[in-house]
Formats: sequence, C-alpha cells, structure tokens
Amino acid sequence: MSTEQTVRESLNQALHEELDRDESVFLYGEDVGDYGGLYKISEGLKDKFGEQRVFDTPLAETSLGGTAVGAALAGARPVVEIMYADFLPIASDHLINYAAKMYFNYGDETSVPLVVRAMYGTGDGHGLHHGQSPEAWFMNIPGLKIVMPSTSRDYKGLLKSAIRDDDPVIFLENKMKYDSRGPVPDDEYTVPLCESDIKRTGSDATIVAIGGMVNTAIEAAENLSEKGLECEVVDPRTVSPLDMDPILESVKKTNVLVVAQEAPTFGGFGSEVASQVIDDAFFYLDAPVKRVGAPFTPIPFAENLEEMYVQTASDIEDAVLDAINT
Amino acid sequence: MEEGLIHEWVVDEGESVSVGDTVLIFETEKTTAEIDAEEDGVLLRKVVEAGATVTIGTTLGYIGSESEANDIPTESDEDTGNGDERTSRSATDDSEEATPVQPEIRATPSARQTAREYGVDVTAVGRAVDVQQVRPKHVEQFLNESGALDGSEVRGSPAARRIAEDNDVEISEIGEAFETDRVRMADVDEYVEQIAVSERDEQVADELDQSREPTVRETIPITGGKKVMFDRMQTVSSTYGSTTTVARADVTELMDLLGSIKEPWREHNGVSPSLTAFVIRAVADEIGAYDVLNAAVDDSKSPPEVRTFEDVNIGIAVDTDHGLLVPTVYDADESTVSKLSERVASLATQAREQSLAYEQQQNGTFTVSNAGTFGAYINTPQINPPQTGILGVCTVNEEPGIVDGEIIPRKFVHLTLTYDHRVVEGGTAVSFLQDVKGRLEEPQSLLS
Repeated sequence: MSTEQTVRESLNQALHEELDRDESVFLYGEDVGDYGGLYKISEGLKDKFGEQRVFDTPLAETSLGGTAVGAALAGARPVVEIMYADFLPIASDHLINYAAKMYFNYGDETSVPLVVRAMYGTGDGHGLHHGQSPEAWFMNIPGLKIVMPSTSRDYKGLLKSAIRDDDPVIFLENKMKYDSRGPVPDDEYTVPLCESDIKRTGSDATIVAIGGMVNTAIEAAENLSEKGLECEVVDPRTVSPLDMDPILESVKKTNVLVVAQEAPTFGGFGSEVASQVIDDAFFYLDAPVKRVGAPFTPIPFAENLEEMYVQTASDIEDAVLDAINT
Repeated sequence: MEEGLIHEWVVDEGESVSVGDTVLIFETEKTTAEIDAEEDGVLLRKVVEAGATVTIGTTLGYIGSESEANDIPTESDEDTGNGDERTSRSATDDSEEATPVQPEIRATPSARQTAREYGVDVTAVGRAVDVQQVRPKHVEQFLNESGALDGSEVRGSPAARRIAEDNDVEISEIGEAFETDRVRMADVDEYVEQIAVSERDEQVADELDQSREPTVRETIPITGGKKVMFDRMQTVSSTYGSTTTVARADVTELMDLLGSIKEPWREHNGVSPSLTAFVIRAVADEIGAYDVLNAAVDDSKSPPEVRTFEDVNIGIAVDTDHGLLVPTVYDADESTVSKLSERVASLATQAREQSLAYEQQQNGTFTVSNAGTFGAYINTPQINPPQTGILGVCTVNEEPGIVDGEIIPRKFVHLTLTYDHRVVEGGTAVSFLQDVKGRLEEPQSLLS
C-alpha cells in the first residue's frame, strides 16, 4: 500500500522516523527548530523531540560544518541543514578536508556519519545566490556521498539511508519540487544509496537525468513517445559514488545518450556520465552524446532571462532529436 | 609520327631570319628534317630547348618583329587559353624558367603550416584562389574547391563500425552505396540486409541459369512463301473479325461412294476421286446463295467495301516444304467432281514442285483447307485475305452414330467455317455451313 504525498511530507516523515528510531540522530541549522524550517521540512520535530535534538543556530555555516564533523567523529549522527546549497562552500572546508578524509586518514574504520541537507533549484526568481546546483562542486571529492533524489518515494527512502550511512552525505533537495507529489509506501522502507534507477523504459535513446531534471526528462520522453521515439530515463539518484552499470546497459540497448542536469554543462555531472559511457561503451554509441544543462553563466535574476536559463522538456527533446538526426 | 626530338636551334634568340632560312633541325624515328622560317623577322623566343622531345602541335618558338616581343603568350596563357597546344614536360620546365612573369606568392606562417599539413603548395593555393598573400582561409578554400575536403571520407559511428566489423562489411562501401559520408547503425543493418537479399537472388539466378535462356539451334529468315503466310496471317489476326462455326457431317455414304467409284474412275479418267473435290463441289454449288462469303474485303477504303463475285474461284490450301500455298481452282462451280478431282491433284503436285504459275495462285474468292489428311480432329484455318471465309475439312473418323434410334458405326468429319464477322453475319455463315453439310451427306447430288 502506498499514499500520494508531497516531497515535503516525505522528508518530514523520514526525519521523524529516524529521530525516533535512533537517539544519536539530531537535527540543527538555521530556522529548523522554532520555525520548522524555511520550507517547513522540519515542522513539528522540535516539539516532538525537544530542543536537545532539534535546534536553531546562528547564520554561521563554518560552525555548522565544524560541529557536524566533530559530533559525527564523537559518535553522533548529526543532520545539519545548510538552508541554501549556495552557502555550502562556507562549510566546505570541514566537508572536503575533514569529513571526506577521516576514513582514509586514520585507517582504523573511523567514520563521519553526518548528513548535510541543502536546497537548490532554479526558477523562483531568487537570483544568483539561492538556487545553484552544487553537485559538481563536490563530485571531485572522494569520500563524500552526494544524493539528489527526484520523487517523493526516493526523497524519503534515500534520506533515511543517508542518515544511517556511516559516511558523510550531502543530501540535495530541490526546493522547486517540495510540493510535487508521488506515491510513497505506507510501510517503513529505505532506498539504498548508490543505486541508479530506471524511471522509464525505452529503446531509442537513453536520457540520464539527475535531481530536478528527472521529471523534466520524463516529460520530454512522453512528448517524444508521441513522435514514435521511446526514451529510457535513468535516474542515478546518487551522484557520487555513481552507479554506472544501469547507464551503460541502457546505452548498449539504445545506442544514443543524452544527459540532463540543472547546473551549467561545463564540468558537470552529465559530462562525467558522458565520459564514462564513451570510455566503456564507445562501440555502442551511434550518435554524439548530447548534454542538456544551463548556460555557463550565473543564474539571472531577470524573470525572462531566468526562464531562458532553466532547461525544459523541449530542450531535452531537441537534444534527443539532434543526436538521432546527426 | 607523333613526336620529335629538337636536335638543334640554328638561330639564337634575337637573331634575324628571312623566309626560307632554316630555324631549327628536328629528328623523328625515321628522318631528320628542318623547319624553315615562313616570314622575315627575329627569333623572339625559343619555347623548347634543343634536346627536348615534344609531341606534334607543340609551340617551339616565336618569330616576329621586335615590337611583338611583349605579345608572346606567357606559359599559363598557353596552358589555359589554347587547348590544341600540347606541351611536353621538358618544354614546360624550360619555359617557366625563362619567363618568370607570375607575381610572387607570399604566405603567412600559419598558412604555410596549414598547407604543409594538407601537403599542398602555397604558391599553387595563391594562384588558384588568385591572391598574392595566402592566409589559412585561402588554403581551406583551395582544399574545399579542389575536393580534398569534400567529405569524400566516409565516417561511421562507433556502433556502426562495430556492427560493420561483425558483419564483415566496410563502412566506406556502405557510404558509397547509400551516398552518405556518415554511416549510422541503421545504415549498416540495412546494407547487410540488402546484401543478404541480393545474395539470395544471385543464388536463385545461378540455379536457374542453365534453363533460363534456350540455346539457339538455327536462325531462319522468313522469306518467300513463308513470308507471304507471315504477312497474311498477321493481317488477318490483327484486323479480321475471324469467327468460327463448326458442323459435324455424316460422310458414311460419301466415303462409301468414294470407295465404290475409285477403281472405275482410275480406269476411265486416270484420277482418284478425292474428298476435297466433293467438298469443293458442295461449296461451289451452295456459295452462290451466300455471296458475302464469295467476296473480298477492302478496308483501305472509306467507307470500307466488300466486293462479291460472279465467279467462284476456290483456293485450296496445300502444305509444301516451302510454305503453305493456295493454288486456285478457277470457276469451280462449272466443274464436275471428276474434273475437280483431277485439277486438285494436278495443282497440289504443281505446288509441291514449285511449278505453279503466278496466275494459278491468284484470284481466289473462297478457300478450302483439308487438314484431315494430317489427322486433325477439329482444325480452324485462317482466312486467306482479302477473302471473307475459309472452310476447314478435318479428318474422317469412324464413330458411333445413331440411325433409326440405333447406335451403329458411322463416318464423320468436322467442317469448320471461319468467316470475317466484320462483313458476314453469324446466321449467314451457319446456314451456308449447314447447306454444305447437307450436300456432303447426300453425295449423289454432287455427281451430276
């Protein structure tokens, strides 16, 4: 049995269940306590679990990063919210140089079981600093897990897995999708990290999309289906470490690859997927690999420019057709 | 003689010559000869140096007045402007040294680099593109225009290359077949499928090969009597409304009669009575009432005409080694059966001996063809144009017949009347045939 619910509800449930399940889990960040989170993700948690386990902090991301690493090393499972992913760089010294390195530094099974929740997503007129997709900033760091779910079910299941995971996880939430709905199992469940998921099957082209672009890719695939092209949509869900096998299998079947992300294409997640496919499935490619992503420019504040900046289903459709008709 | 060796220039450049002066000496395989000046003047230039071998038509040098020196065509003019002047390699080299009239071509370092990469000469690029300062874009323009970069290299997608290799086909041949320089997976699949189909076709063709074309034993020109038959049958089959009606005549009595009079006739007339003669007699007697069958059609007239005849001249079809001949029994309605038997036998013999006179094969008004001697059960001969009908007489067979309600052996013959339905009514034809049949079934009436 499952229930249709929003991503917001799914995340709230996941936090509820994990705080309830494990006393070492605690949640903190800017406005997560009294206000219940800027987007109401942590609503009701402070009341239920008390201010020892759910509490507000000053606007001081460096401290958030540092305390999270410290708490995790000391045996707790901190869930820290960096309200906007755009400000992850302030905390990133702790994430990159400490959280990601401890396991390798000590060689004694030392782990840093922290989760950094941060929101991204473009299209709400928040300008330069409140909607960037930061996955590529951290992809190059071994030791960090980066999760970018796309459905209500995955958001809940993956957040629970992230909290239970012994490695540091950057959990990226698309703030434009908090209200999107989807079926979520009624019974308790988790979704494993590092497993790609086939969101739609097809044999004419493979679209690998991440985070907020998964739904856009599915929309594109439905439109192309009306033109007689069946696209397979692969959702890696975890950006790093990346589960490539389902992607390679899909490309071997379709021989055409399009990658889609919200971030600028240059140096992005899609480029990494493209590289690996070219490396490992070169002789299955029948078309140039096409990348869909933002132009290489900061997110414009002007509404019309932002509209141009955000990639849509029709951009993905064009990319698929371009590849096939090259 | 196609070429010659320039042995020696007798005159040097700048020297004057007069009409008849020897200008140079050349050698061919067979002889040594001189070329003399045809006009007074100065040897302005030697185009070909001594020792060079050149083909006929090559310009060797120029003689003219001093003032014409600047009018001498340059090397490139000769090459492009004057198509009938073929210049040997040695001649070209020599003259190029002698006349550095081309402006010097310069090139930028990057243009030289690009030219080197593609193995082309910047000077050639400059001349072709018509610039003195060659830039990289000029090299590219040259390469494009010369076809070096026209995409003639066929490229396959990685997947296409893998599948092509699996199927042992070349990407280049696929590109050629489909006239594309980009080969995709689907192209390979289609090409491989086409090969499979064509191989299957070839296999089938191989298997059929031996039985397909019949071997010619002999080619026989159609001439003479055969050509006459060829033309007439062509006319009939393409223009006549040939229709056939058939009757079966009980000729038991007739055959009995023939048997009984055979010996006496031989003794008295020296001829055997023939079935054909009796048929001719029956036809000749009855056809008067059916004049449209004793007639000729002329469809060249407008309106077309049918001419009926007073005379009854019956043609008899005789099969001979040199074709079907149709000698004429003139005025058949005025002959007795006895006389007809004699005439038919005589004409048949003449036909086989090719001794028929022209007149003996003309002027028929109706034809009788007896294929019965060959055993034809039912035979429908073609009308002999411009006649309007022909009666076929088939073989006489002994068959069960009914006489007075009893089945007894009788002798029957099929009579087939083919008529030109354009001018003969069906009823007319059928009535005529029934009348002929009736006469043959009462043979005594034919003896008178």
